[in-house]
Amino acid sequence: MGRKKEQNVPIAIFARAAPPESLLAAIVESSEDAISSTDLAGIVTSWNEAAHRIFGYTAEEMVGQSLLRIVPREGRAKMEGILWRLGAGEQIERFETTRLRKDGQTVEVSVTISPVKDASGRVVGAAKIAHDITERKKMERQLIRSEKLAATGRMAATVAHEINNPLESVLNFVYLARRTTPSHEKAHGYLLSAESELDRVSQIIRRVLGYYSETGRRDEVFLHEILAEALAVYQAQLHAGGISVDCRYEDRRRIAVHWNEFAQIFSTILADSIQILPRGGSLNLAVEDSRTAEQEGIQVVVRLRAPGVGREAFDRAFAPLAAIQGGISSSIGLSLARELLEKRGAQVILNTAATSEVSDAHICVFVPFA
Amino acid sequence: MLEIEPAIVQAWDKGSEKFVAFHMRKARARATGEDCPSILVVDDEERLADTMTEILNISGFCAFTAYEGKTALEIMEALQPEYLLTDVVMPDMNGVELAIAVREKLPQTKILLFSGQASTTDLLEEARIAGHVFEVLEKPMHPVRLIEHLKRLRQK
Repeated sequence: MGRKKEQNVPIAIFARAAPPESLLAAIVESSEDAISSTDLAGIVTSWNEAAHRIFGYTAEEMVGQSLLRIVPREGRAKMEGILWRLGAGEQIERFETTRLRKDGQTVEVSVTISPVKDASGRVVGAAKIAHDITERKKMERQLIRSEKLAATGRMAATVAHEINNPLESVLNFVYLARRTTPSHEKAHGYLLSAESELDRVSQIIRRVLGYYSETGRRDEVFLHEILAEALAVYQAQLHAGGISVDCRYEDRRRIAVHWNEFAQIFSTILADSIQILPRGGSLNLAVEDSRTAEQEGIQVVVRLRAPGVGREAFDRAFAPLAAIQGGISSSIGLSLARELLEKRGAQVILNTAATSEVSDAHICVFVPFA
Repeated sequence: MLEIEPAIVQAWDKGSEKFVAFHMRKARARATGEDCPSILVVDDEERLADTMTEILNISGFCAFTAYEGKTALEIMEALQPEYLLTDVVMPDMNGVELAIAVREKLPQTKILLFSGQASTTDLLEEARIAGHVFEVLEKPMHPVRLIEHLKRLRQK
């Protein structure tokens, strides 16, 4: 019995020395985390300053209102369920969820909910502590994305190699077969066509699967030379697709880049542009010396104009290049292009605009000298 | 017509107490005064090495074949061909190691690496840091372009 008494001592002391309400309030107010309370119906009864900062609503705007105001539609049933379980005396495990800010943006939070009891021990409400984890979630997603990309890149390189060797053998066999077939025979013509098709396959593999980042020395080049070379490959396709092209090359300084990497980057941007541009669309390419507040470099601007294409189509298509959240384009090429650009310290800005007749997309790539 | 002939005949040389190899075409070229650059093709993919050798042989070269680095080095020392065209990633002795050894022993050899994979960039980067820079051709390459490239090297 004596032991039990001893155990009770600290609690008794705590109870006697309970901080005045003003001190508790000060702690709540100065907390970095959003602290709020509701009754069992979900009506807000208190709302601290951090809650204001994180969710955008002031205490005046929230107290007396339903907490569902900050719960996205799909999370409302869950919120109601939680309040019901809490009322029934259940413990609620900490969970991560999404909340709506006043400005309509979402914020990701880690939430701890505890019951608020009255003097008789009956649960009358809930106290919530929400910790803003938007940044952490963003980092997590970036990590997953870059790991996925790295895995894709590794797979692409492996596949490319597995294919390149047999492809070289096939090319050799077909060439030998042609050389040993008299030129007046039909087979000679077939073999000649097979050779040119195999050549095409080689180029496709180099472009799509051969993506790899170089580790060797960078070349000192005029960036427009790489762009012009990439453009030459697509000239026939652009012409056939009824897309007009206009180029302005005004870069006066050489820049240190890996030729192959930038050839891949420009090829991908051009190939994806051709895919999205309809007949009558136009492609403007400009390369020029440029500077930001901190750095000097070369700027490449790719401008797409298209009648009858919504700007969302542009946003969707090029989101992976500009690392825009929510992009659903499946272009591995663009994602890898972005990786290569990031590795080189380049910045990509995507802007889209639309009038009722025509949509515009500006892809601006800034490559710093250093 | 494609001419078919035994590429290499090996014989034991009593004087040097070593195997020596004669390339039939080379021997004939020497007799007729025809210019026939010799080349060793090295690839662990036998089909690739064989077809490449055959193509080079009908295109005015005297080509030999090896399927691995160590044998390749022996043939290089024995025959001292003008060119070495070697795959990069091979078991045991890889193409970069072979190229370094050949350059050390036979510095006049025109060396070309022929690679089908991205991972060779690491091998090449290591070699570059150690001061060994080699020209690399990417597989697949059309045989005609490869031959043009080889001929250009000769003109340099």
